[in-house]
Amino acid sequence: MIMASRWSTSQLIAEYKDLQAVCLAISGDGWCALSSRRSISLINCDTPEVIDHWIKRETKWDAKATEFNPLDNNLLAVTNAQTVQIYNIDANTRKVPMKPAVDSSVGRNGLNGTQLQTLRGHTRTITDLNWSYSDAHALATASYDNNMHIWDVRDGRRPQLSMSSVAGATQVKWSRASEHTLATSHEGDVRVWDRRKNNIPVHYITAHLSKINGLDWNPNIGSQFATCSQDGTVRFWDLTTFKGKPDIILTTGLPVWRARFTPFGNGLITALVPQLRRTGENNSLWMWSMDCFDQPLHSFVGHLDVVLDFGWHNRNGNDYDLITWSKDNSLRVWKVDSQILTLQNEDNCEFSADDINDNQSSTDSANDTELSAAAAARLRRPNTLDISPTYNKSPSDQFKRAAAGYHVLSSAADTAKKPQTPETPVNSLTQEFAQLNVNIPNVQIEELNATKRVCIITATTSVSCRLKMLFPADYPNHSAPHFSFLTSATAPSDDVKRDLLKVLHTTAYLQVKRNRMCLEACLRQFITTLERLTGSSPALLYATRLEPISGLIPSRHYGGYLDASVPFPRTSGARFCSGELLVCFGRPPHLEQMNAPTEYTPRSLSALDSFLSALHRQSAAQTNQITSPLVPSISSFYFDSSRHKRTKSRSKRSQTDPKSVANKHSSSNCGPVFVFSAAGLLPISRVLAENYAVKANGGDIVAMCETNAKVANTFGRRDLCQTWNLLKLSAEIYLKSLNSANIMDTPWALHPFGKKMVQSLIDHSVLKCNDIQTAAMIACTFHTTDTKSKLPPKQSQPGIANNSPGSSPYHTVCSTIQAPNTPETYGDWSLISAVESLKRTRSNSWSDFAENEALISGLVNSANNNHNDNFAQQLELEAHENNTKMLEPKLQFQYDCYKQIYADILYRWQLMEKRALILKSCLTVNQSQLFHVGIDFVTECQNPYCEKRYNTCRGPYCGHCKTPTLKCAICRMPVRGAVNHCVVCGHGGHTVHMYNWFAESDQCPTGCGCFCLQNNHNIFA
Amino acid sequence: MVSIVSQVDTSHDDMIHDAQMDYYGTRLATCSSDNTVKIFELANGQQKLLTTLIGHTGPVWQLGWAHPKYANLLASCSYDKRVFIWKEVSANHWERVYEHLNHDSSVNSVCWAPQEFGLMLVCGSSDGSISVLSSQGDGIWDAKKISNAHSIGCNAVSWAPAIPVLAAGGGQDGSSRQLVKRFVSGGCDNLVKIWKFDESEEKWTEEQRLEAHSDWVRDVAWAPSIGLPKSYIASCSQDRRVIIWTNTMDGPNSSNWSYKILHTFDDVVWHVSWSVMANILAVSGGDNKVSLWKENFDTNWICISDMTGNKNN
Repeated sequence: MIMASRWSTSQLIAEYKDLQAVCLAISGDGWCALSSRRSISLINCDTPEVIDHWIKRETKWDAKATEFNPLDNNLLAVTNAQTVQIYNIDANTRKVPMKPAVDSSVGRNGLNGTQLQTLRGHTRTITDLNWSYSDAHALATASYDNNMHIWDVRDGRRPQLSMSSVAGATQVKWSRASEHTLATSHEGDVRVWDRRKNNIPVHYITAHLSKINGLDWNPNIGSQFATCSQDGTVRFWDLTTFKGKPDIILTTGLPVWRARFTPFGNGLITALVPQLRRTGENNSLWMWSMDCFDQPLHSFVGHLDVVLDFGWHNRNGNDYDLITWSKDNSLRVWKVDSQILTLQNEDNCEFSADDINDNQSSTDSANDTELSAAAAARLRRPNTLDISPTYNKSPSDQFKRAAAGYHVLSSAADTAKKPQTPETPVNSLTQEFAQLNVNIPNVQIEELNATKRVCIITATTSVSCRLKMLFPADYPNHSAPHFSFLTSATAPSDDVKRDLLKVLHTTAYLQVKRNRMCLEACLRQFITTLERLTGSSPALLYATRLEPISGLIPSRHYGGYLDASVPFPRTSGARFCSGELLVCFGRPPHLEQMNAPTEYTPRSLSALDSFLSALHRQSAAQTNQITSPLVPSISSFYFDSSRHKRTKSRSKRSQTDPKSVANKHSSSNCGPVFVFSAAGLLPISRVLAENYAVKANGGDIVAMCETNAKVANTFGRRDLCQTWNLLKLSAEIYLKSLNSANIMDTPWALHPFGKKMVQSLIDHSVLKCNDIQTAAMIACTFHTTDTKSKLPPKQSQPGIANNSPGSSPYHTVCSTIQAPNTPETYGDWSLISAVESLKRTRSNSWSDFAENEALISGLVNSANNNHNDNFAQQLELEAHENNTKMLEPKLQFQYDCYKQIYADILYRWQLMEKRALILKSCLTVNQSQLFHVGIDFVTECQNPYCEKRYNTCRGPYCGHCKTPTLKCAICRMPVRGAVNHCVVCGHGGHTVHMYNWFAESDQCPTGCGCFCLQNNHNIFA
Repeated sequence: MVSIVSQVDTSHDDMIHDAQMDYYGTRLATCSSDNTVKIFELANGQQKLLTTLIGHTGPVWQLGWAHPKYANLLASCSYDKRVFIWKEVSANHWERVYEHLNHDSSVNSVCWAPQEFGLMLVCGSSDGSISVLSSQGDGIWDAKKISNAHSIGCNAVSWAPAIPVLAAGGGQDGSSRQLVKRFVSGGCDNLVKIWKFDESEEKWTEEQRLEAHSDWVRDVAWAPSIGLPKSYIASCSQDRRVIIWTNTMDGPNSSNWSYKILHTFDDVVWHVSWSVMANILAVSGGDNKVSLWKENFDTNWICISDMTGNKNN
């Protein structure tokens, strides 16, 4: 969960910049051998900063692998291209002659530190070697030449045994349990061999799809081994239960370079390779418990580059040294107590198990449930106290942190494998008491006795209160401690006591339910509740109100292992907002990037880890004490050049406590936010938008063009001024030609300066200049004339009785499944009556509605025949109409798009009136966007032009010609607002009118004879 | 070319990760590593802190203002794996109206859909998944999750504009004007992916994957439409490049994406943003610089402005 609380930096660091070693070997008695091209350096684990001895090694090749014999600490094997060199290093003196004797006939008890043997046999580079765990003389080697050899080092002239495969091997490892078994890896495959049957592998496993980087046998389970690969996973295989699939897969997200079991407990150490091996990324080693792979247990932070190799040295009993060698040329030694695994297992795994149960490892929900239950009462009151005002971490974090450190007090000798056994209850309580943070404000611990299993505290606020806690034997496994109050000088009232007990029980129960220890949580909860109930200093109230819940929800600090996939935070940015604004933020100028200027900003958040550890190390070194790590923040990645100058002297710096530094630091951690106007860069202009004239239908387009030309000129847009003037001239002639209205003339629109010019002007502004404003405005200008131009022919249309009350436009309810072309207009009276009669027979069910539709359309078709001759004329007129238009009707949709986009920008500028005017000229828009589900009320436009095309309208206006379609049956005025209709006869009108009418009558106001109230009631009953 | 309108001292306790103005350009929201979101009112060069939104328990990475037709909604996403939707319930009183908890790792990006699609929010998380929240405006939020959208993690999301683009040769009929919901995402798998909502199956499907970056994609931005049958996507990456993807739509659903490398920058590029007319692209990155790019008539992208360290030159 909280990774930052469980990391450690190394105790000993030694840098060997000039060594250029790539391989590390660690002997059983604590010697490290670093092999480079020039030498093998021997270093004692206790004093890593000194190279004790070195063996000269003149070779052109880097050693691929080097290893001490686990059974004989004097034997060291190092690969050298196709050969293996065996060195003997004297156990007593560790003296190695500067130049190794090349006398291979000398036995191992001969000269101190000599090269004993050179094993020749492979024909290509040897990639790995491994000493047998059972036979001191057996060494296995793997090579790209497709062979694996087993050598007896007493006779190194030729391999004792050979195995061959079709692919080159990159890893070879003897089983620790079975003396005859060894495993080799070949790209993504693993072969397991028995040396007694060396012609064919015992097992052949297609383990990974990518290259296997490392292989290791489990020291505890003899048949199990782990493979780690470039594909970012570690897979575990058990030969006894082998089914072709890995038992467990651990996914890390980054290529895994090495994965090895820990020599103690049931753990695993992984070393990862950041992609592209960028420095500053997460190069930390992780320790995992084999029992839960949700989170690594521990992170070893410090290496600045890829960890090339690591090994263990058992100091004594439980103390282990982890020795690591990294590409950053530093050798680090980390003290690890084998109990670390035990303790953390207890803590971590319980926690993780909860996570899984709760919601797919969603720690949030786990925490939130905890939160909601434990502190629901408190959180509902916004101004109550926080349980841990001075701590940002939840109590369980405190435990974890303590457990992560090295102050492990348990004395159990071998609890490594079974961390949660009930045999160790004393230990867990002892541990809990030992790790208890006693600095809880206003709480004094009087007694803390693990053997008596009792804890007595005194809490002092305005009253003082003594609390005794008795821990049952099976605590904390589902068993909460018993709480009781002891007599004190100023005891709180009984009510307060009752409330306190309730809170304590809830808190304790929530923790022990998960087998978690609850002492500290209870104490903190206790004191805050007490403070709340009895009143407390206002200063404290104020201080805690700011972060009401951060104490309960474990704060998400950086450092989780998931950080490898979290992108490194942006600390600067620019964003276009609203119409023309550009919002920029950035780091303040005095904060510089920590890493060298030649390096790029890291990719992921995990890079912060290494910087933090560096910071921590630095402060620890300067103050000579272990300071708590700073709360990790992105700002620590950046280097404050101004602060550095101020506090250059070391003495000053050592005095500053990291927290105050952090505070001082933070005051200038954020730079200002700048808001720029990028208006000058945009093709559109707000001032133009404000001043442009947009006229509604019937406006004088010549005057409009003229005004707009003036506006453009005033604001320095002479190009637009010209455009508008040109349009004005064209519009003048156009209007004239319209007024002459001689149908035989060639319409002005067909002239090159007519429609074509308008179109090219629009295209130019959009395609070349991204100037939606001009395009929309031009389209808008000529739209007004175009709609007007088609009004006159309407008058000439004969034979439509649109004043008859029967031809009410309010129509009927139609289902949305209806095809858009289905005719719904019944043209004239006779048809209407036919339909009316049909309607009367309509049943209550909507299911036969489609049938009715079919009937209606049949009727309409026959009616249409009567108009056939009219229709041909109509088509011709329509074609002519299109020719007279200044805007190509086919492009109308596109123009409407422009208008819509421009309208949206006007909205951003809050020029609502202009926007409305622009939108008014849109013909086709909005209808397609009305996603209405279910039954729709549609009306028909009475305009004969629209009627012919069977236009249905879904609003008060016809979408095409913009004439009102709804007329009230009573007042005969167009209806825009609330409207009510009879679904049977289709008549209706203003809601108020209808309401008043039907208050007195139950028949339709048009006199159609429909008993609207009764009929509607029947239909909807 | 660019003039300063106002300078806001946010007084955040830690670094700022995002700053955005609302639809009208009157309010500024900022979010920071100090786990808070602040809202300022900017008028006539004056700034006024309206409110500080507290609730996130990790650094807040990104913000998003919803279209004002859905009231004043602000979405924020954080390292604490949560997405909050804040609403101004009454004048200057903000409430957290929704918490989205369904991610297993840091949520890196949020983006509101164009208002035509309804109230919809897309969130991209480091757990590799993308979730799309939608609401009818009744306070009930429905979440659709695309798991494993990007292996390792998703870093950025951006919606396609809702303006129905008329296909070349398409008629006036309504069918070609159907709005298709799409968004683009960028992730740690170096890919830019386009997702499309399949109305019939009611789920998001991967429509296109665009490969060209050689490292994590840090941000993607779909350019606003100006009504042309052409769409642009800008993407920027850890590989220090900004790539402009262009789709010339030959048919209603054709996707024919080609790309052009805008520039290779000095440091990693974190953010790309289009101007409202899609003619200018603002690019910002790890070097604390902002540059503005414009496409000239030869369809080459040229740098027209360069701002360093917050100071306009």
